[in-house]
Amino acid sequence: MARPTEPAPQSFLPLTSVVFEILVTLASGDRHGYSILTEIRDRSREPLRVGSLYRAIGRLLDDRLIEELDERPDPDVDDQRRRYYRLTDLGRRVAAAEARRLDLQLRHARAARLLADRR
Amino acid sequence: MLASFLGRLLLLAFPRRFRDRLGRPLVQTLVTDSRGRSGRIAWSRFTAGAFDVVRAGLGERAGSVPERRRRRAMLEALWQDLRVAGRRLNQSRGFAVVALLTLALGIGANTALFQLLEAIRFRSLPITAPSELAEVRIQNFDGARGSFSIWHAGATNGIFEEIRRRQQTFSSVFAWSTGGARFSRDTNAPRFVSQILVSGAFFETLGVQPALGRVLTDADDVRGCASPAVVLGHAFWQSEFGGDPRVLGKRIMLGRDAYEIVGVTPREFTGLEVGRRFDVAAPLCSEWLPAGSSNRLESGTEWFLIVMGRLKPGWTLDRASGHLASISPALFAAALPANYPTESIAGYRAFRLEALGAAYGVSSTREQYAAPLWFLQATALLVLLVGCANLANLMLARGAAREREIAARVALGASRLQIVRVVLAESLLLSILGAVLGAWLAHEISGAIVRFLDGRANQLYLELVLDWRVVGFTSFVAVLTCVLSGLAAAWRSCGVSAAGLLRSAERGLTDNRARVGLRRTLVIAQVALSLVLLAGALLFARSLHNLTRQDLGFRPDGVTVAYVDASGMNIPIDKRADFKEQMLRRLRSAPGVVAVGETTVVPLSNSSSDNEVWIESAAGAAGSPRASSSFSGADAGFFRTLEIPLLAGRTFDAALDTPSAPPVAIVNGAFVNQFLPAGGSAIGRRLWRQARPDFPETAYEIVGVVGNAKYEHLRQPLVPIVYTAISQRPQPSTFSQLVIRTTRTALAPEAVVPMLKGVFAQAGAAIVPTFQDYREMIDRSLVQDALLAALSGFFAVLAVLLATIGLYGSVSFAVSRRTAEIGLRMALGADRRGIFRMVIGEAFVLVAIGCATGWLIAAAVARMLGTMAYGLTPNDPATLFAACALLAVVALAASAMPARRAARLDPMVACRE
Repeated sequence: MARPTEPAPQSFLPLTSVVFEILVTLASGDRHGYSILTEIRDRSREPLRVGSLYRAIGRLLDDRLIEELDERPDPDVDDQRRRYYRLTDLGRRVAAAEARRLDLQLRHARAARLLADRR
Repeated sequence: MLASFLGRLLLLAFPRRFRDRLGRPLVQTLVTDSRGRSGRIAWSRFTAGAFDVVRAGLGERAGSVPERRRRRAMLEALWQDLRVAGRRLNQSRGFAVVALLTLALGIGANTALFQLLEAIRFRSLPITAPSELAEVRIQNFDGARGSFSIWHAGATNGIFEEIRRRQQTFSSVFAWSTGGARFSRDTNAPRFVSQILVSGAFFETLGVQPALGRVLTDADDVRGCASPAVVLGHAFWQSEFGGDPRVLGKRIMLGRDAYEIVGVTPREFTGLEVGRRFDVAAPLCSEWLPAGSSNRLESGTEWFLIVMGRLKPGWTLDRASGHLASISPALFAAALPANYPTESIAGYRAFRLEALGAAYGVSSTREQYAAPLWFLQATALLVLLVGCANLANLMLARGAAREREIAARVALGASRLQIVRVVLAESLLLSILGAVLGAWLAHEISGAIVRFLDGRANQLYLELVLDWRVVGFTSFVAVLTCVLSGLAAAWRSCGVSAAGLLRSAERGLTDNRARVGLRRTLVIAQVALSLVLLAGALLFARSLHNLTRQDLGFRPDGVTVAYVDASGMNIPIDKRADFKEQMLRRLRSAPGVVAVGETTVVPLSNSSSDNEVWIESAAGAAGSPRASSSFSGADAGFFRTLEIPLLAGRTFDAALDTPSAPPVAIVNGAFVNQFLPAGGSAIGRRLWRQARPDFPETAYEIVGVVGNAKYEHLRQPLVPIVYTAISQRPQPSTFSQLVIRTTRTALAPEAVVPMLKGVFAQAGAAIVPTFQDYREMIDRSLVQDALLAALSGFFAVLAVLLATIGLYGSVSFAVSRRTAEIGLRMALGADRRGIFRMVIGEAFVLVAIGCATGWLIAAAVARMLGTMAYGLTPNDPATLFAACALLAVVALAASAMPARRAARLDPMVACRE
C-alpha cells in the first residue's frame, strides 16, 4: 500500500558542474556518451574528459536521474551501436531546481553589480 | 583493435560494478574521442584520455561516489533527527530536565568512582618498564621480632645488604623507606615534611631522570654520609622554593644535619607509594632517628625498608621467587642479628624470600580504600540502572502518547527503521548531553571525594587524569544508557497497529496489556534496587554510628596528643630524666591544663606492641600458659588524663618505680579475664615477658588493675594490655608522646595548641612539638567508614528519588490513560474515595512486590556487605524493615497526587474522553 517515496529534488542540490551539464544536455533529447561529451565541450568550453564523464553518468544512473536505453547506432558518428541515455522525470525536476538555484544566485550577483544587466 | 584493447585494460582501474555497467560505453567513447580528423587514433589524445580514465577509476574505487553520498545523506539525516529531537525535548522541558539530571548524575557518579579506582588501582608507575619492577618480601613474615616503623616494612638494613650481595635475579636492587623529617631553611621555624630514604641505586634502577640538577647515585649513599645530598620533589620545589632553578647547591636542614640540594625530580614522579607524594629524598646513609634509640641501619631488628629490584631480561617473577627462596637459608643465617631473642631464632632462619610484581607501586591507600571503592562503583552502577529504568519508563510513556503520530507516519509509509530512528535520536541526544554534563560532574565529584579523604586522612595525594580509559568508560556508560532506555521505547512503538490506533473507540478505555506489563516491571525493578541501596546505606550509617559511639574505655574529648621531639636540645643522657620532669611540671602548671600523661602507645593511633607473656604460678595458685598480650608504657598521669579507672591496687609512682627498682606492671580487666580466670587478686602476682632484642626474659610484679580501653584501632575488640612504667626505662628517650587534658572553661579549643606551643618553647627553643586533637584523630581513623556511609547514603537517596519520580510518572500516566475507565466506574457508582484507594492500592502492590524482590537481592548480597559492617549481622532485619518502611512512605507520597487527581475527575468529562 505504501509507495516508496521519491527523494525530493532539493536533496540533490547543489549539483557539480559536470552533472548539471549532462542533465542540460539530455534535457533536449536522448544522447549517447560521446555525443554528450562533445556537446559539453563545445557548449561550455569545459575540458571534460571521458573518465570524469562516465563517473558522473554512473552516479546519475545510481540516483535515477537518468536511465539507460537500448543501444542504437548513431549515423552522425560512426554507426557503431552506442548506448543512449535519457533524462528521467526526477532528473528533469532536479535539473530545473538547480537551474533555478543558479538563476537566483546570478540575480544576486547582478544586484551586486558583479554582472552587467542583460536587457 | 589496439586502442580498444588498451582501453579495456585501463578499465581495470574502475571497480567491477562500474566495469560491468559502463565499461563498454566508456571504452567506446574513449576510442572515438581519440580519433583525429583523419579517423585514425591520435595517440597523444588517447594517452591523455587514458590518464584521466585511470585517475577517475581509482577515484571511484577510493570511495564510490554513491557511497560517500549515502554516508553524507545519512549523517545529514542524523543531524536532522537530532535537531528535531532537540526541538521536541525543548517542548517537554520537564521531562528533558529530569532525564538529563538522571543521566548526568548516573554517568557522573560512575565516572568519578572509576577515575578514583583507576588512580588507586590501575595506574602503573611513571618509570621505565614498570612491568620489570619487583618487590622482595619475606613469605612467612609472621613471628618476626623487632620494631616495625613503617606500614609495609619488609626488611632490615642487614637483610637488604645480604640480598644485594647474594642475589642473581635482578640487574639492580635498591631499598627505600618513608617517613617525616624536620625541615628548616635559613632561620625559618622547623616543620615536618614527608621524606623518603633511598639507597644509591634507587633512581638509576627506576630510570627516573632529573628535572633539574641530578639525582642521587651510589656515590651519595656511602656509610658515614659525610656531606649528604638531597633531591627535592617537584611539587615541594614549586611550593617551598617557587620553582627557582638557583636552588641547586643551597643547604637545608633535615633533622640535625645540613644537606645540599643537588636536584629536583620530574613532575610526574611522586614516589613508589600510590596515594602519597614525597617532599624530599635523602640517601639511606643519612638515617635520621629519634635520638636515643639504636641506629636503624645497624640494628638487625629495625624493619623499615622496602626492597625492590629490576628483573634481568628473561627472568619471570616465579623464576625470581625460586632463586630467592634458594638463597634464603644462607642469607638469613648470615643476617641473623646478635641480639635476636633465642626462642625466635629458628623462625628467623626459616624465612623465605619471594618476588612480587610492583608495577603499580605499593599503597596503603589502595589497601584501605580499594574494597570500599569497588563496592561504591557497584552501587553507582546500580543507581545508573535505576536511572535507565526511569528513562525507559518515561520514554515508553511518551511513546504511548505519540501513538497517533506514529500511526499516521506508518500509514504514510515510514519504515520501521525510520520510526525507531526518531525515538532513538531523542535518547541519543539525551545521552550525549548527559555524558558531557556527567563528565563535568565526575570531575567535581571525584575532586570532592579526594578532598574529603585528604582532609580526614593523612595527606592523600592522587592525581586524577582524564585518560582514554576514563573517557572510554564514560562513553560506554552513556551508550549503554542510550541503548537500554531508548531501545525499549523504540521497540514498543514499532509494534503499533496503525489501523487499530486510529480507531478512537479503542483509545483511552484500556491500556495495552503488554506495555503496561513492561512499565510495571520497570517500576518494580526500580523499587527493588532502591531497597537494596537504601538497606546498604542504612547498614553503613548504623555501622559508623556503632563505631563512633562505642565505649572506648577512656575519654578522648578535651585531650590533645603531643608528639615531642627534644633531640635538638642535645641533652646528655644523665640529665634527660630531670629535663623531662621539668617539662612535664611546666605543662601541668600551665593555664587550663588539668592533667598530663605520657605513653609509648597512644590508644587508637594504629600503633601497637605485643609480646608473649605468662603468669608465674604462686603459692596455691596456678600459673598460666604462654599467650600474646599487648603492651604499652605509661605513667600515672596517663590513666588520669584519659580517665581510665583504677579498679584495684595502685597506679605508677615515679618515686617508687625507678630504673633500679624491681619492674612493675599494671594490667587491664581483659588481661585478668584471660590470664587469671580462676579469680583471686591479680595484685602481687608475677608476669613474665618473653625475651626481646636487647632484653632478656623479664618478670614484672602486678601492682594495679585498670579498666579496659581500646588499643590499636576501633574495630578491634578489647584486648589484654600490660602497662609498664616509663619511669623504669633504663634510658630516657628524647622523643615523647604526651596526652594533655585541658578544660573548655579555662581554655577555648582554638587556644590550646598556641598555648602548648608557648609552654614547649619556654622549656627549650629546639623542641619540636606536633599536636593533634584526640577526638579528631579518632574520627580520622574512621575515614573509610565515613566515606562508605556518606557515599552510599548519597546514592541511596538518589535511587529513592529516581524511583519516586518513576513511580509518580508511572501512576500519573496510568491514570491519564484510564480516564475513560475511571469515568465509567464513577458513573456506575464508585465513590471518590474508592477511586483514590484503587489507584493508591495499585501503586502499593507494585512497591510491595518491589520490596520483596529487593529483600531477596539484599539477602544474596548481604554476605559481602557483612564483612564491612561493624556490630551488625549482615542480614539485619531491622535495617531491611526500616528501608521497606521508608519506601512505603515514599510510594504513598508519589501516588497520592495522581490518585487525588483521579478521584477528582468529573465522570461526564472522563467518559467523553
